[in-house]
Amino acid sequence: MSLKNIYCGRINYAICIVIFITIGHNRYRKAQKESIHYVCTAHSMDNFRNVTGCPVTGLNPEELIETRQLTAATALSLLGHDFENLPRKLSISINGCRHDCTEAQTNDIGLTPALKSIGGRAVAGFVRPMQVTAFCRAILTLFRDHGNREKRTQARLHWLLEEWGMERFHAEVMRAFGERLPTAGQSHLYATPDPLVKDHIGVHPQKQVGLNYVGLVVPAGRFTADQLFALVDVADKYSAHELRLTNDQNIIIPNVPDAKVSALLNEPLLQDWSPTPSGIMRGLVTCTGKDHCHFALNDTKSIALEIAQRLAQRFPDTDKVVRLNVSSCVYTGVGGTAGKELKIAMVLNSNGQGITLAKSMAPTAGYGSAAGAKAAIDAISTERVPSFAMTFPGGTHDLWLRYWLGAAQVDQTKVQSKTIPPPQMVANMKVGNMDGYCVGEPWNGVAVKEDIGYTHITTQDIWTDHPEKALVVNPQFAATRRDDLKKVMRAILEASIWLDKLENRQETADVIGGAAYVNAPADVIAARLEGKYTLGAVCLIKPLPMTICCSTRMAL
Amino acid sequence: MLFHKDGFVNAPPTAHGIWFMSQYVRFGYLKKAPDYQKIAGTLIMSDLYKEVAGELKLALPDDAMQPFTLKLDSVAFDPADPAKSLTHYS
Repeated sequence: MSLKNIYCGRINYAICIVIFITIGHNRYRKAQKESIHYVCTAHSMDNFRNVTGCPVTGLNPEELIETRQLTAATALSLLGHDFENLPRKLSISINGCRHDCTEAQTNDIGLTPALKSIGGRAVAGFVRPMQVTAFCRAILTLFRDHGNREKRTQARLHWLLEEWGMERFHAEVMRAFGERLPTAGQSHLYATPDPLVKDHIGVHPQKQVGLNYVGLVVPAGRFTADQLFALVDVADKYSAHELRLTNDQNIIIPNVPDAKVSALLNEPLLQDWSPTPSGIMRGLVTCTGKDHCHFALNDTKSIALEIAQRLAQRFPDTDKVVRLNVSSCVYTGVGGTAGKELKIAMVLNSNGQGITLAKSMAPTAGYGSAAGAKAAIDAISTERVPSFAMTFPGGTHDLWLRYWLGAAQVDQTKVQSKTIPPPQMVANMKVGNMDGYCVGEPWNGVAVKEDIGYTHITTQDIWTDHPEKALVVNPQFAATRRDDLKKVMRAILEASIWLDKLENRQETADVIGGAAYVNAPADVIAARLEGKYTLGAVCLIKPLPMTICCSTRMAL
Repeated sequence: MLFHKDGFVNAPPTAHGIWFMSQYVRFGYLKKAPDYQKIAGTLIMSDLYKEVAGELKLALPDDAMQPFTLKLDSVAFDPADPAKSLTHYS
């Protein structure tokens, strides 16, 4: 077999690498039948992401424009030194699929099918296929040269669009492109795509008569090496040595002759990776998870799979797609893009966050002393810029940190603020990446236990009984699923009442301390949950100052 | 950490929503003052919470717009007048 043709979506970049390495090294290279060249450039840095397109382009009878050559040519033209240091990552989707299967609106540049008596998106007008590569290069050049490089949170392309406004952005694109583009054409996207067709799962006849593509759901998008070998064997046996990967982390076997379809459906692999799965398994997409991504907080795939399998037993229907997105990334969430309106149904907890400082600050900063904190930060400022971490800009930890700095009369423009996921706070502190951080428990407690830093102040000493986490839903869910939302709220309230009893907190700590959840020592979680604070750095702080007058305290 | 406290934890107060928005103004996340009341009213589902709490016969704290004081700096915040409250931070 010559597995030359693998097209992968951005999300499947890692899968693609696995396929190349596994096949290239273990199998074909050993057999010396063929050498597969695998080149990895500009991976996960601030550069453009793998250009995506419809995974069944060239096969789908109702596709408006075949985009295979366009995506490949565009990606190749962008590789190299020109665009390997953008202000921030940039994603491109070039798609002729009328179902918008790559979700053009979620990309920085999203080209969707349109017709005009002579487009892309309304931003820049109508782009003809032969202009696509030059058009993408023009936008990337503008982004590279004018994008915001000072604030990472404002360094995506859409911020440049906001800064310039539509009119100027349009004019600049035209200038960089060197030609005036016509206004947008008439979109040929379906207004309401059929979810059972959009994901390209199942057996579908191709535009090539007598051939079919077969889309298989890979549960949670994760597979083993054995399954990968089985997949290659199946592709060898039933298709023209070709596999395609979808945006939803699934697999498509193209070019299966009519006569071979029923035999393919009986293959053992297809009992695990079904072309007719339950709607729940079909709609399941998860982030990479902490096994392979250092921004993830949980083993997302295992958790999602367990949820989906249980739900699929109760709701085995295969005639609908149930979207279930599971992410534990600190940079994205179920809420969608920044600025989207979300509704607050209830508050989940009060208190229990804290600010950890480096032990070297302890003699000056002490426990909870604003004047002490200012003196310690000023001392650092004489040598370098003091640096503090929080979990997300604009989130509660960012605000508690800023409020504390404000109360200590520290000029916040002279202090660096960085974003670090909670479970990585202690490790970052250990290697001296910052002078302090604000985070939820147990990560202040873990710093004390590991003797990396000490708890300077708890958030209950910033604002006693402050609101912290909330149950937040998107407006559509709030409006159309009111009864379901009430059920969720009732369940949470019952849990809240149980959790509020101190005698239940050790059991809570034992459960959530496990590797699939918080993944931290249960004794530290229990102590902070029970309000028994060991603050750390006790030998360094004399005399004990102000509000907290001992190195341990009770503070729920 | 508290999870319930007779319902005081779970009810989402309008005043707290306004406090958060005021701090966004204070720290430069919002370039100008928002329509505090309108946004809080749109985003916080007070009525739904009241309904659920009522069905479970839970105590419901008064969603009052009374001034409150933070422990750290003793600055009083008046949710009825966030603009004036912001002048109290030096």
